[in-house]
Amino acid sequence: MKFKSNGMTLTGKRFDLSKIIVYIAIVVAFIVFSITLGSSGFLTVKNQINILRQMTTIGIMSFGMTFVIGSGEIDLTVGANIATSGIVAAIVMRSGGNAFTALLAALATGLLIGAVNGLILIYTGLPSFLITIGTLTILKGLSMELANSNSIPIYNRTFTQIFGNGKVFGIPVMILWCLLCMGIAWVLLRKLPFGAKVLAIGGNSKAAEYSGINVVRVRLTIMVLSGVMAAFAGVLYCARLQAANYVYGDGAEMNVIASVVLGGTAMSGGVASVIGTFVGAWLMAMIDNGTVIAGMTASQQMIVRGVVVIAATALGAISARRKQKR
Amino acid sequence: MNKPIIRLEDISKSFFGVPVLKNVDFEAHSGEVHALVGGNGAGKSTLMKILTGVYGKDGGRIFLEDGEAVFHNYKDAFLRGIAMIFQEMSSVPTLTVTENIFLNNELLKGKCFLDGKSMRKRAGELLDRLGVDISPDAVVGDLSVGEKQMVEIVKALSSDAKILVMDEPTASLSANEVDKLFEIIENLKRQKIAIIYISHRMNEILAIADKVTVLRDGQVVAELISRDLKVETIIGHMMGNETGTSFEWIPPKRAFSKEAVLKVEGLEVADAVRDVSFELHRGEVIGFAGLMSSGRTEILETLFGIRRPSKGTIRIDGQEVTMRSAGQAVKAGFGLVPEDRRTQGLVLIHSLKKNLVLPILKKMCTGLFLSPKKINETAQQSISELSVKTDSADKIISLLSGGNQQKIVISKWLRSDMKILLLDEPTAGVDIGSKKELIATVRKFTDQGNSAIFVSSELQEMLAVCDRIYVLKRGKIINELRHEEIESEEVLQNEIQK
Repeated sequence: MKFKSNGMTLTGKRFDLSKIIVYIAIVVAFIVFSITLGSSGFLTVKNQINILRQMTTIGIMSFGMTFVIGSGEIDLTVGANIATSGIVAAIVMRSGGNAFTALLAALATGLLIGAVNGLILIYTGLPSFLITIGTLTILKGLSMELANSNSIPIYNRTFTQIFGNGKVFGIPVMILWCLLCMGIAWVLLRKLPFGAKVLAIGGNSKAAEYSGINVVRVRLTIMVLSGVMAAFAGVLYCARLQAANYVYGDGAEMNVIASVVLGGTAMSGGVASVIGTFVGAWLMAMIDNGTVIAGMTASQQMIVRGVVVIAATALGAISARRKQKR
Repeated sequence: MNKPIIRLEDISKSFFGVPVLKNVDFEAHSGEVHALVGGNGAGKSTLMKILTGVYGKDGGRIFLEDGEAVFHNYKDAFLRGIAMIFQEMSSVPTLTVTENIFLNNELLKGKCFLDGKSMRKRAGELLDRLGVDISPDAVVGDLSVGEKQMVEIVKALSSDAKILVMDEPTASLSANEVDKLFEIIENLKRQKIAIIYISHRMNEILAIADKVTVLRDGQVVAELISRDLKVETIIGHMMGNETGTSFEWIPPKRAFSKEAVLKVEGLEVADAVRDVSFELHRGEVIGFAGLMSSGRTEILETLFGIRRPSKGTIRIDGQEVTMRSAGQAVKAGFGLVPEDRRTQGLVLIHSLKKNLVLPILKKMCTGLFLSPKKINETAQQSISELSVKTDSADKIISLLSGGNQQKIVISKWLRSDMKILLLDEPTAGVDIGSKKELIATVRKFTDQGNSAIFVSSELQEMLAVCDRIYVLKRGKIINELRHEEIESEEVLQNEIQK
């Protein structure tokens, strides 16, 4: 009948815990580690910079993933993408290419990976979860093939300095690259029509289509963006380690997804935050760092990381559900 | 006369202080088809929701054969033998017919394991008893709409339903399927089932019903025996004499252009639209009147590039155009207010202003970047122009009332460079005040030299705004009426029922 309820849920402009939980969590983690590990070196400037440097590759992948998840899709290839594009860069340099050509080759690889994912997505309409499980496996095989299952050393000092180990005014270049990527992602999401389209598609793709938005093109662009961002992370990764290897980035997609979701991006799409994603990745790196200083084993670290992800996202989700009931 | 199987006495119901049902009496007898008719908002669906326990009632009583009954929810009513055949099918498409029939009512072997064999046998018997030729092993998703409906009926019977409520059961059926459904209804009558039949299609009601109850503005205005009844008589009762709620005709302020802005010839869309030709002039509002599934929505969606025509040409200002996507239709100058506001019109989790600027993101930029200033100005303009009731432009759109939401959907397009506005049921779920405003907005838009196509089940509204009305029946245009030729809503109602 005409007298439908107006859907009066109280989720208007009110305080939403799921969006700010990551900021609370990182403050809590910092305080806890400062108290317990302050004397063991956690609080030194060097260690804090170290944490930021460690988060950079996951962070850059996560910025691309923020758009993917914000549009209601998923990209599981980001970890394998790191290996493949890193190997391509290393091969280019081994064959005499300079640092710049190596960078371009790696980014082109990422673009191609994203384009393949995107094209399969828009032409088959299969769930992106399934598509990228497939392409992920292909990429793993491909990178093993390219590298003959070996590590390829990188001797190009320009490359390793600019993207990996160099410093500007005492700040590691990797942190600067990460901040640059964050800036680009933030502008794309908040300042350009593109971001508005991405979130509209994630919120209700039908309504986006009926508003005349070219949903297909935006989806393709999102997957390409994620591919290129992950490839750039691959460049940093192999520059830092001065080698490329097919095992690099293995399983990184899980940390990436966790960072994005911790940062307040909705798994169902429609809501996303680049700054939140940055803080999410930072939090994960801080926990890794703190647990190492505390002397935990790798296996114990993994358990802690898993608990934190569930606890933080659950708190946000529970608060959102409570509010709806009220 | 024998005792009724169910009797509703003095039923009253209000929503938000607005009475929807006023002291309604209604009864149904075993082995009879009792039709319930009335205009949109007359209270039919509310009455049936009270009967099936979905809504509580404010006043009145419900009696079954063995005394008074109180239903707190659908399940209470269902256990007492009342089943509703839903308009949207409630079956699980991936399960078989047998599995669907016994869903949540499974036959067990040793109180633990599913007894597939007995269930399949029993399903077969039930299907045979109704004379339905569907295999119990067929997957429901593969069945036609009509067959799915039969499965629903069988499912209701499997739990010993005595009273079946059918709400617009023929809305999406083909002519053959309607005949088949009527055979089954005759069969059900012989099995002493009482059927309450809601429909807008008068000819079907005359063909199948034994009695007709007419509701108007929440009251029973007539109880008729359907033998020797005429369509005109029912419509007369439905309309009454009052004109209090009707909308006033808003005449166009300027003459229409001689040349057609939009000219459609020989349009065909799958099974939905057949050989439809029409034209639209600058400054003009045309309407498509017809029953549900008469092809109204399909014509609009084809113009908007969402459906592909199999035949026919679309010309804008004399130029032939092909629309492959909504994006192209927008570029060609179309805007669509879609049928379902919540799933097609709005991103419900986003704010008012984000929804508003979605089709005009390009215009909201300074250089490459979105300008928050432009967006806020646009939002404020739209809010004041259409008097949208909201605290701010940042309010989440799902918190607005239906009428205010719809104003935003229309406003989306008024801000673009759109020349032809397509409106599909724009006033559904909208309060009366907002309806008048929406209609006035459409006329204001066309007075600026634009055009509009208006589709609505509410004929009064069409009469208030359409300069010409095409009458559709099963995907074909069967008549074309100018505003002056339509004396009253009754005339148009009779045209649609032809």
